[in-house]
Amino acid sequence: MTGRATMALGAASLVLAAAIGGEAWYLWGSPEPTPTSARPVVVGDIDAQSAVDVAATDTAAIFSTSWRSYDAHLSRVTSLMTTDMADRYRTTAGPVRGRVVKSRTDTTTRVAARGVVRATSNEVLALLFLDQRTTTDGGPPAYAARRALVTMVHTDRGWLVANVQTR
Amino acid sequence: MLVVVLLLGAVLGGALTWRTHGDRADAATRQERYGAVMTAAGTEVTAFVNMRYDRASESVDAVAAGATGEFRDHYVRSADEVIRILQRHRSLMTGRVVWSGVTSISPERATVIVATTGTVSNTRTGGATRPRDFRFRVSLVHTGGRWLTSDIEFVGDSP
Repeated sequence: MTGRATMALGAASLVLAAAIGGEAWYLWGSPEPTPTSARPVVVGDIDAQSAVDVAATDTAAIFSTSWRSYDAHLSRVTSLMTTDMADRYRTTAGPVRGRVVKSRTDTTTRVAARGVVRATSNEVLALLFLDQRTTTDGGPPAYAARRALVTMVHTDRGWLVANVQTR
Repeated sequence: MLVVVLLLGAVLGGALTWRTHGDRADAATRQERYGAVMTAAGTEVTAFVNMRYDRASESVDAVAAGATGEFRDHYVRSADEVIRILQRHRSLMTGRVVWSGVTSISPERATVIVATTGTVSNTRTGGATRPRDFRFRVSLVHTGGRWLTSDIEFVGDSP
């Protein structure tokens, strides 16, 4: 093989290696797009919907309490939350316990509607419309229509509630 | 030999890259649809919760501009009555979208839920401004290159 042929083959090898490197970066190295208002969801429909379904189930559980089993409720629903959220929830829910038990308050919450606000592969914001029915001291029920923005994060324990804003 | 292996790798990689590029373009189109339907629903609901008796026609026209189908027909047919009610009660309703989320979506239709906050004042409130929050379910259809509202429902609490 002549020196010129060797050089040509070497140059071709370099070009091909660079092309393979570029292809590999495009296939496996390029990051997930960042959500924007124009493109708020950057994962597939099913992935986003699965996280929203978990948000709905978990949020309904978090906002459904009974004076008969308040401690068990606290323990059960904090397992659905991230550590930070669970700490914040215990801080606010703990002091309420006495009032709930004394007034024998039961609250049931159902999700009237749900939707995805923003979604990446590791964080999903879900909008939930919550219908709450509350009874106190065996009296007539009171109904409330609430809206909740729930932040779900994906962890090695699956989707967990990281924040809930209601209004 | 090395050149042949690299050439095969580059061709295979090129094919994979080409297919992935197509998949990502399709995904981007699907994902941008979320933004488009939320914007359209937000615009329509904003018009719906901003009604003024002293600009009644403009208020009604703003809702009709983002509507389509039977919903639009019904709304336009009842526009005169809506305007009369707004003026009779001297209704001033202001509001803004707090959050919106997509419930279902396809290339042709979508459903978006929207939470708003705002105020209302009218003869029934004695002219006083009262807070008024709403929950809406908005149905949209893609028609003529635009997302238009085919229905708006209030999502109330259910006993």
